[in-house]
Amino acid sequence: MKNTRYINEYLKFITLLDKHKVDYLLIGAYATMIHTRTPRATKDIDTWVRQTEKNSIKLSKAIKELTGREISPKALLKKDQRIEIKSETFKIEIWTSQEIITFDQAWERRKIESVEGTPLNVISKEDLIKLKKHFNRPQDKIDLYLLEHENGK
Amino acid sequence: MKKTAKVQISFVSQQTSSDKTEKSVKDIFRTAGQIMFNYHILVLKKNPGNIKPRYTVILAK
Repeated sequence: MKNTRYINEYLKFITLLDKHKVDYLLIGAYATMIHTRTPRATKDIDTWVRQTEKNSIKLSKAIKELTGREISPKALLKKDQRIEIKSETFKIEIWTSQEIITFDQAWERRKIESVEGTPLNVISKEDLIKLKKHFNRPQDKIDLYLLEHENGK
Repeated sequence: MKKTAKVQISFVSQQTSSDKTEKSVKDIFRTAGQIMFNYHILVLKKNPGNIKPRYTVILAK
């Protein structure tokens, strides 16, 4: 049996971020998979957004279009705010800060990929390694091995 | 005249992955999604295709 739900919802979200010109970076498991070209199980997709008034307005429009839910752009400007968009089968996490790198620094070094004609802003491999080393959870250690050994080769 | 098939034997390092296929970003999304889809079907015994997405938006810290 083939999956369409996960790919559709995640790509729909990415497409909406692009449509509303949201400054965002793909981080976490999907960024690791893209850099290592190694798919793995993950319960969610993680993104990191620029925390400015202008970007928060754009992000709230993208969230509204995806979920129908109205989120105040002001609420998205709170320090270390995190937004979760959940359904029974998938989860989208939106982060507004990371402890050791600023968004501007990471944005400068981002890798631009493309999926179905939609540009995809992915955190750079070096910044992803920094974050994985910083958080150092069991899954981070596995991801680090793949990231530092070029897909384990 | 007898024909003989050529057999090539290569010695490769175990450090080298045998998977040489370059995956596209879409392949990554599709495969990661399929892994979680199978998890729902085989482990949770639920078909995600039958579940209508009902979104919850949570502001958390």
